[in-house]
Amino acid sequence: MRRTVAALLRKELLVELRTLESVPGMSLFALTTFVVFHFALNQNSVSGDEAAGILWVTLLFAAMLGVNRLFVADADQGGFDAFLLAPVDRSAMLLAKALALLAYLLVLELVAVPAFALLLLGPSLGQALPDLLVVLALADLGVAVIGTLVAALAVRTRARDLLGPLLALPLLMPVVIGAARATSPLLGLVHAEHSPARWLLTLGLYDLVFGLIAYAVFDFLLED
Amino acid sequence: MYGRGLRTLSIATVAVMTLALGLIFFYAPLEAEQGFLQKIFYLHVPLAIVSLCGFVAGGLMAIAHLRTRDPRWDMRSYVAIHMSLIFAVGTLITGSIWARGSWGHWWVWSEPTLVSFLIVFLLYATYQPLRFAIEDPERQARYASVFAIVAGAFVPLNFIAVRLSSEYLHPRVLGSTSNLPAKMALTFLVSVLAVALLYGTLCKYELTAKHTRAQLRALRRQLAGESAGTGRTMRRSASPRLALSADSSAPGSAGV
Amino acid sequence: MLAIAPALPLHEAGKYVAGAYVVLFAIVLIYVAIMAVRLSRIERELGELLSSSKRSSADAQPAPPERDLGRAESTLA
Repeated sequence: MRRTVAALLRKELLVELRTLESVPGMSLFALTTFVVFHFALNQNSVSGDEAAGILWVTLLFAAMLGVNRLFVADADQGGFDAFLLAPVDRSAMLLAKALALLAYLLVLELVAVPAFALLLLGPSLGQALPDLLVVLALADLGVAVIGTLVAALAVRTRARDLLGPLLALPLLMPVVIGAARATSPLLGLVHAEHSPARWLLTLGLYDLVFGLIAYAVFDFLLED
Repeated sequence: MYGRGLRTLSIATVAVMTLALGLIFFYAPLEAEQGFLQKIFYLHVPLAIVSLCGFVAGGLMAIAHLRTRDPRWDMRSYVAIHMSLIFAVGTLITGSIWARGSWGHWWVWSEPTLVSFLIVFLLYATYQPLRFAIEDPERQARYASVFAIVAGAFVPLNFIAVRLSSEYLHPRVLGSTSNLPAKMALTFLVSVLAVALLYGTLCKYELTAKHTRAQLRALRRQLAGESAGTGRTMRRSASPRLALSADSSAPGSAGV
Repeated sequence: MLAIAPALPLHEAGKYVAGAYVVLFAIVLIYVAIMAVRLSRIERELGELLSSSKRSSADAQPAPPERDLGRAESTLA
């Protein structure tokens, strides 16, 4: 199982590296969105709740772009059939795709968070950075799990680009709540405080529950 | 036969609902803070509870469908979710009316029940478009069941998350269900029972209607087969259709 | 407790409460209406099937006695 996942993951990352389909688009989208926010809110710098909100909305919508493209190549070019013929555990595809999406999100954040600090964020990130990394990691896990599940669900339907975000965004609402509430004290104007533990726990619980459910349910999506 | 218990169930619903309405307006005392307006509580909260349970039940039926591959479970799951969505809209509307009456705004973010329901409504509103976007009926049922399971697990988690997020912001606008005096508690319980029975009756009604349509189609197919007529082309549909063979008039179960 | 002034005067609050309960009533009634439409459609389709099956069995053999059908119809009237 581990080798299958590793092989699939390697394939995903290689394809992404060669075609550069998802990650550059996601990153560029995030940067552009920051500029949109600057003009839409008419603010030069933000902090606290506002800053957390802008950051998470941008990351979330950029993630949706990645989610939309996640299974498209497999659906269009017969990758599903090839996979189904192989004598491997089908959940391996879930794991590999989720890990790939996670990787894309991490790269996205490597670009977007410094850009955010540069363009819009008032207070400096230095003190808050370790906590922020934890929040990012926990939220990314949730987005990766739900994103992969929803992508698999939506890809072989008629309106796949529309259905993906429509399904994912309500499902990700607890992640938005947890991540925004956890990030907001980190970006405080006067000084950075620690993330309330309860939101980190909420995010962790969400990741665990939906990780298990996705694992249990994914097989049924690949059947034909 | 799905219709077998329907009459008993609907009579029970009428009886309990009448009792509930009587208790609400003639027995339960007026609440100190909100006065008469608080009576909406006996409608809004039971609608919310029954709707949430219905969504979770839809998820459980979807699990049964995936395990047994029996299309009847898919139909039950579909009806449960459909009805719960209608009750969720009812929850939102009655909650909004209540908010308007007590705060002067048609929407308040500080009431966790309303906010949770908005999110849940947005999620389940995609259920039918999802079904409609898949043509192959077997795959449609399968994908819908996957969605119902994920969404059913989501409902309680969402509730907890939203409730956590509003705790320290404002006091609950529309009142909570804990610490109810005895008369109100009794009225409340009977109201929940009444709404639950209404939900059950409407679902059974819907299932009976669907089953009857399926029998009709099977009969039509059989008659068309005899005289070599053309069958009607199947319209693409968002709702599950039972395919029955004309000689077995009903699956042997007692229905819902 | 009734001596304490309620949050809204009764006639004001009454409108909101009535509105909320009307919502429930409307949901149930709309459902009844939808079911009525479905029922009439089922009745029509059954009628069509019945007449088409009568036609095909009349082609196969002499018309069956109509007494039973007459009796059933009269009990409906």
